[in-house]
Amino acid sequence: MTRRIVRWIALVTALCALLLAGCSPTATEPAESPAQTDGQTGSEASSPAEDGAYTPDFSEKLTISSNVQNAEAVPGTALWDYFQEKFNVEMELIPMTFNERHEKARLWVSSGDMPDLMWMDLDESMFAEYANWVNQGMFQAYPAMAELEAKWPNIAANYNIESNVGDELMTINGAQYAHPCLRNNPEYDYMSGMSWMYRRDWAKALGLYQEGDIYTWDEWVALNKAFVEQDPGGNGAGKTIGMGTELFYFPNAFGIYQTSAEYGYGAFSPKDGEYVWTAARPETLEGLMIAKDLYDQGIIWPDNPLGQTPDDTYKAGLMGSVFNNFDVGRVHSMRKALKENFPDIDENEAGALAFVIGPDGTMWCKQSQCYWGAVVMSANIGEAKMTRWLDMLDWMLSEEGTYFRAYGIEGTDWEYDENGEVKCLWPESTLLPGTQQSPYPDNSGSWFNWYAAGISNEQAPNVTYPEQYVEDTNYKYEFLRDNGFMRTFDYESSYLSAENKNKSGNFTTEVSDKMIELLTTASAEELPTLWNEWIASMEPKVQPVLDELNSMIEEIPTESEPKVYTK
Amino acid sequence: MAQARVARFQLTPARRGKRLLKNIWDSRYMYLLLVPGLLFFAFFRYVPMYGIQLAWKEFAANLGVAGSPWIGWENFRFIFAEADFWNSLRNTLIIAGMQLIFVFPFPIILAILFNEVRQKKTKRVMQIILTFPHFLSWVILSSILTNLLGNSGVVNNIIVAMGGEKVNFLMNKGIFRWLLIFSLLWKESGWNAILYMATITAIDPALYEAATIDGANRWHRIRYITWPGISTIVTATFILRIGSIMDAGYMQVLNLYNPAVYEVGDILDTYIYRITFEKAPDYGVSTAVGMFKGVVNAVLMLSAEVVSRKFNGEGLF
Amino acid sequence: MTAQTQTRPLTPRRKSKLNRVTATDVCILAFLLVFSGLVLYPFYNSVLISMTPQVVYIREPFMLWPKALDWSSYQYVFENKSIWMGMWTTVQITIFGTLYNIFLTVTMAYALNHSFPGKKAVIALIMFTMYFSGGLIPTYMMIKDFGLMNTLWSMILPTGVSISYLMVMRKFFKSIPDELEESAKIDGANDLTIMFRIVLPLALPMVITFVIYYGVERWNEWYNGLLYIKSATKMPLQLVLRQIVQNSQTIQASESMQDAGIKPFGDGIKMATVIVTMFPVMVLYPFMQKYFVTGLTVGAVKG
Repeated sequence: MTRRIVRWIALVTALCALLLAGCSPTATEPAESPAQTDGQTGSEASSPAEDGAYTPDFSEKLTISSNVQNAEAVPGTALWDYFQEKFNVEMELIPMTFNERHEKARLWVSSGDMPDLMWMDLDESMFAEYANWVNQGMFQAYPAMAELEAKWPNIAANYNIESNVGDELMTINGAQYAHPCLRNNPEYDYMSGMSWMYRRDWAKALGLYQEGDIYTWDEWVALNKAFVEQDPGGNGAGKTIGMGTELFYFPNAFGIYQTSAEYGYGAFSPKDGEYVWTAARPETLEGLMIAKDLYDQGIIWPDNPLGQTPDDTYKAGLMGSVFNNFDVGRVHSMRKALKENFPDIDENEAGALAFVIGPDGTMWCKQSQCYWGAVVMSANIGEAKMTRWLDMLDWMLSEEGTYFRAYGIEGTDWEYDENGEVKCLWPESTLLPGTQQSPYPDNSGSWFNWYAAGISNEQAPNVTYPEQYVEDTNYKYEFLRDNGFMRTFDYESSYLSAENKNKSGNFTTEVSDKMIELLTTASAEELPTLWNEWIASMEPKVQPVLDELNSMIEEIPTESEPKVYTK
Repeated sequence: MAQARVARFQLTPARRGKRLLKNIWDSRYMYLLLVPGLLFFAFFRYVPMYGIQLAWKEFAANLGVAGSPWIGWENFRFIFAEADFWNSLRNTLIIAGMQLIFVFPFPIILAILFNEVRQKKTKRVMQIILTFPHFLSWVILSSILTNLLGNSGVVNNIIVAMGGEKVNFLMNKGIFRWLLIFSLLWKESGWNAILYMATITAIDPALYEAATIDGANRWHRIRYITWPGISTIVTATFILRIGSIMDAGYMQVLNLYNPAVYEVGDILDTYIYRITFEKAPDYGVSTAVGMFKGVVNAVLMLSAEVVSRKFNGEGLF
Repeated sequence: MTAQTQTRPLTPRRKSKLNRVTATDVCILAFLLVFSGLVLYPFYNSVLISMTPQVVYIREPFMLWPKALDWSSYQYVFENKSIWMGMWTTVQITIFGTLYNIFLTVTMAYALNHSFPGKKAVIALIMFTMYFSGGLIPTYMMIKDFGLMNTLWSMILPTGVSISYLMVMRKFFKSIPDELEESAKIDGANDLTIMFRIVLPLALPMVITFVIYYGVERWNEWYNGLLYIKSATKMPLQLVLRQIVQNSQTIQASESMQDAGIKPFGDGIKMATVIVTMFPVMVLYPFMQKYFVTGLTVGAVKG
């Protein structure tokens, strides 16, 4: 019996082989259409700006599909109805979550079924594929700069933001295929918010508070040790946690960022005129040993590697300090929750921002990459829909559109006061005096911000943030910019598309996985040996990528010179 | 043997053909019953089957599956050259083996024990309770487990209160596989027991009565009545489980593991997930891995079938 | 074994053995009770989390009773339109999907339990698909080409038959005595009549078991929805739940997301959603249960 079944399986396999051959001609169909549009993009880019002013035409009702997080929350709000009516469009929102952003983009593009407008995260892991897809003709190019300037000046202006370092890299075959949205803090040279938040009230209670929230590394470690041992918050024995961070930054935040000056570069950094693997530099191991020491002393949150978020624990008053991306949004979320959970405390004291000088004497900050998110158009979008999208985008980036995205509809949600200043009409917040509360359900604004651009404080202040929060955050940026050492982001090496690099990635996951493994399971004595062994074992995989970097990148940057800060 | 068969066929071709036609006509209702199922398999399983060729191809979005270039055995070579692949394969086999030994029999034992319980109400309530965890997803369960077993979790608090030393349950290479086994046993046993309980209800109660009158004790009843009543189904589920040995619980491991235990906990599916999630995914490579898994599973299943026939007298087919 | 029984028959309690509670009975009951308790606690804990404020739960994850009550999680869930829409979608998928699954499985399993020319080929063709599949992209293209994209059918039709269930069902049919069918055949009944009138009633506990298994699988459907559903109004319940859980986990990981207006959800809402989604199953299950606790038995029908 079994033998007969084996024979049948063999037969079926043979049949399948036939099937494969049989299906081949039909299977090509779905993929053909995108490839054809290559020529179309060329003509689009070269069409000259028309004479006279461009007037948008919304007479034809269009249905445009686009993907967005929280799609279920968007429809039905007043803002959304207003927007669709204004542009005579029906937006089909395709749901996705942040976790799936890459997988969905791949699935849609690979199956020739992408939405008209697709929001993408063009991080280093995605960029090579994105570039491939552009070359394969899967996307529609945005009009050339001359045409943008003539018809959609706000979009053109958005491209031309000063110090927008990534643009050159994003230009492929002389055209732009992505609209950059959600950029980070251009006013501070794209400085990332990465920094510490800590319990200043506890530090004061312990008598370890340092003037200006500036701590040397030793003071900082001693403070966190005291948090754990002396339990200033009265949480009970063994309950107070010292330092925690997002898994994303673990364990780098606890020593490695501080010792390895090149870490801001990412996986590869320059040394003596060529790229080396940052993980293999001796400074990395040095930093890892610092982290190991902190871990063994119980200062680092022991459950951190399990992928829990530290924010909830900090908000619950169980954590002394947390390292995270503290832009004003997160400062607000932390302090607001602290206020909600503990109405008696001063949330500005409980969620203060600290400046920590690393063991190497520098106070560093990190540059974040722009093009964090981008909107691409399907090659099949067609002239009418593209024009409508550009009209919508141009309006969203205009002054009126910015206020719309920030506050809502003119007259209902905001108005110009007698001095011509914008005044938001939202109701007062009951929790945080002096702030206002959005009348719209959560996330209702996300499509506008995801698809247009972030809104800076200067364009339209966020009225839900108390002034103190904004001031503290801005002070942090300014202080770090003036006194810190900026680890710049190296676009060339991060975004290089080359065979081995695309296949192996940049090894950052492997590195942090190994660090976590050694930190939690190895002893301090054996750690250096195990680490060096692992580094050596990775060599055969890393070297080909390094060779590509060193041969393909013409100008290898010089090593950074850390700026020492003295208190 | 094949020749002999052909020869026999040639002896009486006409009669054979007639008999075949008659057999087919006699089985007309069977064919009718098969039609809906076969249509399903044809449309939803065999239509996309052409995708198998991706295992020997490098996928390009603009060319589609059929148009992408052939690259020979490159995808297989790439994956077989990775040390982590072999590590994850080993873990898969070990974890699946442990599941077979410890998790597989437990629902059967539960069902047999339930059959011995005569308090009807208690029994029904317990049966319902045991199915609850099936409805909690692994994401949710992993947060519950962290609360229980984490460094500041309940169990460690109890250990410390009793003067013991904290145990890092979730980041311990020695413990992790057992954590997988116990959490799986805990989550799915009650649910999987339903099948065996249903099988047991088909056993004639008169058999138990008669056996008791004949003086059989509990063990005898289980051994000579209950077990024969469910052994056919147990054989079938056992062979099916062996035939899916390369699936050692993707969602479970993905949600419970962390870098500290990758060495012992990383299974094929999670490994593939990680190498394709962080980097540009290679549909060719993942198809190749799927092929590899399919072949191993099929071979194991057929071996189990052969062994079962030999020692048990019956198999799955 | 036999020797052991032979030494025993002197016990006077023999006759009433089935009705007497022995030490073994107590042990079995105790074991099952302890196991049920172990299973129940984490679930009970989830219920507590769903009705406790986030901060209380983070500070004291181990609770025996709710330390502070807060119904806002349930309020959120019941006011959330997408959860209700998801519930409706899932109810439809579950009803039609389970009927479709069980119909295909029973018919196929019954046919495959009989011999007919080409049976081996059919089995081989079926088993082949258990191990080899076309993969993600061809399957996606198939759904698109069949016009099923963004329809409920995309979550029903591809589920079809579970091969494991099919094989187990077939085994179960095999265990039903052939004489029953043969005597019916002599009485002139055709195969279909035999199947529906004689075999299926006997196999009812098994059919109900697979109705439960299939039903819960369809109830838990999210994967096909994730791939093929493109509007928020058609997402099945479990997909909505998954989005809520994921959104609460990921915002933290990325930079500058807060300004994009994404709000994290607390653990309470996750747990409340789980409990709400489980509720209908918990209500229906006891009704199904009677079929395999005190179901029809072969003996009962024979007698």
